[in-house]
Amino acid sequence: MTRWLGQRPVIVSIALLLLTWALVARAGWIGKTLLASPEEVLGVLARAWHPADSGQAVYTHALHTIGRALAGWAIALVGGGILGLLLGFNPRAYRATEPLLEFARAVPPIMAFPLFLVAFDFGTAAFVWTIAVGCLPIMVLAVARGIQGLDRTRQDLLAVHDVSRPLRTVASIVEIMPSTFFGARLTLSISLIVAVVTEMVFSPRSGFAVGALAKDSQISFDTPTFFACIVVIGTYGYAMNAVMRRVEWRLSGEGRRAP
Amino acid sequence: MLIGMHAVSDGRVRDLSAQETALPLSLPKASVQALWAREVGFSYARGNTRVHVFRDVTLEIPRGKALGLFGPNGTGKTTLMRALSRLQPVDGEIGSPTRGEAARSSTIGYVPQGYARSFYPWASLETNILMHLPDPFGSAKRNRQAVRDAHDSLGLSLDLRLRPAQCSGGMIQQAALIRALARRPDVLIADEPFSALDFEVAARVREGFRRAVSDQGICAVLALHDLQDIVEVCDLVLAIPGRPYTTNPQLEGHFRAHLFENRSRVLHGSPAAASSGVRTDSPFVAALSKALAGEHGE
Repeated sequence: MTRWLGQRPVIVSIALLLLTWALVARAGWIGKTLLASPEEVLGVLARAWHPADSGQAVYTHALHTIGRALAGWAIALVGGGILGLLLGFNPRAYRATEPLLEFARAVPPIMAFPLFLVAFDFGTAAFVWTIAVGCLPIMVLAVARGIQGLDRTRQDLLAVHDVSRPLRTVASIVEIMPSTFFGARLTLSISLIVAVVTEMVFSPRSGFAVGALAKDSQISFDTPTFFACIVVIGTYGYAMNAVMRRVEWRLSGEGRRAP
Repeated sequence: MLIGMHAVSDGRVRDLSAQETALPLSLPKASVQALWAREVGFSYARGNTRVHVFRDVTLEIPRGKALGLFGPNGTGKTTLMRALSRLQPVDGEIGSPTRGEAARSSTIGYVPQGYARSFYPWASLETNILMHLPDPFGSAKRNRQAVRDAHDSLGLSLDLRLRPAQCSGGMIQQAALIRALARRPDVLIADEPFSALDFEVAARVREGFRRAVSDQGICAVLALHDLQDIVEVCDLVLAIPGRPYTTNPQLEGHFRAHLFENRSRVLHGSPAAASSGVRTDSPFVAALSKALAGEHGE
């Protein structure tokens, strides 16, 4: 058992966190309005599975939030990927635009949210485009810098061996996968942060938004629901990151066992 | 000038003599049948001064022959090889052989010094090799056969289904040699191509490599640091004593690079057939050492 746990340190750290959380909540060192106990949070999450509660379930709110985050992230992924490739293969254009991209990256996307709200008539598109704009510069820089940093030896070899341009491009795109994946994982987290923050600023028309639910539950001192929102969103972020790491690991060739 | 060399193996004495040869071997008229460089030079700017790496280097490597570049680190061997493979723009002229009138340019096979980095980790060794063939989208059967032929010609038993992460440095170096030979090159440029191979594999690879160069009429240029490699593989050796170097005896202020013909190959065919250690106190080594010290031939 000890050995099994030793090989899975994450289980130990989660167990320790839950234990500390439960002890602190039970001891009453922090008021109930600030800290819900794990049992209360689990109660909210369990209740949310019940059909009668499905309309207002934390999961339903989270799914809408995640949907918007993924839509904005996908736009940034495709747009940033294409722009990054174009700039990466054109060093002069890259040098000309890099300061602008760094500037755009430094501006918190939430600052553009009021403009998008007006531009898109307070609709879902405002949320999606705020997320996309927040993620886009990072994706562009990740891809362009990957292209700029292509291995010199491989590039020389492709040139000497007169490998065709389409094949060289494909090989280069695959070669920059680590930096592309890094950009994708980073922007995935950012997309979720921006999605929740925008919802906390302005509740979408549908009413389903985990950010808005978290804010409302905080205001109404419904601390267990507030913590349930954190747990659901955090779990989603962790799971997506793990999936992407797994895909990256497989693609990098490290995941292939000897035949 | 004849320089004798004797290596003892199993009680037998073999003549591994080398002879310094005239430069150039011939003027680059027969360019279709040789890789040649005429008055080639490379320099770079450092502040307001011009730093010369080599200057007025004239060489000719006929088809089926291998030239070894032998000298200390940092003398510009890799730069010369990059120039010969058209990666490094240089002063002077470089010509390379082509297969028949129809071919627009020569096919080059290149084994870089950083061979391990040259493989993509996401693909098998075979896929890595296939994408470097002259017609990678052509007949898959023919391309796989070309890879298999190159593998067998080097006397290897390498599992090409492995990915680079599953291979040792020596295995990847074998794959790099296969990749270069599978292209059926007119010119083969290799930067320390046997450096990571174990003793047994190195002996087989040297012999297979040597045979491939002769049989396929390849013009080969290799940067080597091991005398055994030089003696067993190279027909010609350019001993580079330092930097900046030249092959022009009239050019002053430069180290004189001497070209030797490895006569042991002429006398005995394939010395690799009886692989042996190279004595460090032999006359050949002494002559090369002299050449590298800039004391030879003047």
